[in-house]
Amino acid sequence: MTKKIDARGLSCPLPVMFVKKTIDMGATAITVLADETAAIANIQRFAEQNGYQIEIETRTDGVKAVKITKK
Amino acid sequence: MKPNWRVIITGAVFGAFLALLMKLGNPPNMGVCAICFLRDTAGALKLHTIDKLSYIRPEIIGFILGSTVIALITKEFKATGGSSSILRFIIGAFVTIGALVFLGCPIRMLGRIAGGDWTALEGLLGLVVGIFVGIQFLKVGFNLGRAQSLPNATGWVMPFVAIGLLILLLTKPGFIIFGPIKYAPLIISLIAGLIVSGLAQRSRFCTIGGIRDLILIGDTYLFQGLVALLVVACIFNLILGQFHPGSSPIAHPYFLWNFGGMFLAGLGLVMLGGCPFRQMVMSGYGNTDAGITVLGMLFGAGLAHNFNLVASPQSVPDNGKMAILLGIIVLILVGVFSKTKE
Repeated sequence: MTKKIDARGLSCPLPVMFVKKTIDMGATAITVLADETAAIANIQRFAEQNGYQIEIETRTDGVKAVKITKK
Repeated sequence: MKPNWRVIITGAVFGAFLALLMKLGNPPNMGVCAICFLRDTAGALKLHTIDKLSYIRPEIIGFILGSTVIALITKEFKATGGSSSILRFIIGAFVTIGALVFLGCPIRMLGRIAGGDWTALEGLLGLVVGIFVGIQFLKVGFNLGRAQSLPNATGWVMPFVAIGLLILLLTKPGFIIFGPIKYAPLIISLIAGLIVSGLAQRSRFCTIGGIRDLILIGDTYLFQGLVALLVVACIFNLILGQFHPGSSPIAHPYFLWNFGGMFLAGLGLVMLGGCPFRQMVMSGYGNTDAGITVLGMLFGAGLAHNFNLVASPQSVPDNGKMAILLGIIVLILVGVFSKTKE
């Protein structure tokens, strides 16, 4: 099951911390909603370094949906 | 470890400017200091009354406006805010008091080490421990809340404050104090500030973030910028004859208060999500939470001098020691009680 994290409006490092916590709990698929470029870059780096792949979709309201899945 | 050139270049350019601006007239063993320069700006605006620490520093103007320019080009300018603004103001003020008891922001701290001032290592130790404690609060749920999108006009407040400061600096009206102070040529200081801010807007360079991310998730991305700054500033200091091992002008040798001042700063800056320089950069592209933090720092700088909290090379006043203890207590209370359901 895909876990969902709403990281909109949260400043660093909270978005990446929430991703780490969710991965540590055993999640293999996560969708993160984020709107801060720095937060998205941090999530991307962290996920890739830990063997996950990333797909980023920009929604119509400008918010990014970051899909993280285990390779 | 993969080299991240954007942040390495930002750190390297910043390191070079630290040494060069010192050579061109900025205070010795300083070059650039985000907090000390805000303090000087506070003096110019009569938020304190020490003439020899009063000057609108062009670097501060550049730190804000450089990121504005780049964010407009990259379409990243966006007004946001509303994440515990008043707490950010208070934390910003205490961070400034901590930094002024140590005598420098994290960037000046690195610059001092790069010039051979080993007392700054005491501050580095305090900063790292403060960041570590701040991370523990984050791990148990500390959170200043979400920022919201705001009307675009709100995001322009800090860029216009910076433009206003630039006009005052250029026109030098009588009601602004320009004291007998060491400074590099205005245009060079301004351009240096604009360049590092523009680079940092792209790379997200941040001294606090560098240490925090390394401790928290083992991420070296931002930390590489700190190393680049330190190494390049050191090389330039050696070339320019500014490397003096064991010498500590505009600094003091009191371990407990070097440590304590930067402990308070490190703890507060983790709560705020970035170093004083980064707060100015973020305020330039519409982040009003960072903007209110910078105003809190300006207020804290005025307060620190008006109430004799600031250290001198000879001593750390008792008022300053009490303020550090009060600041640590306040920030611990904030850390314990500021939580959201997330």
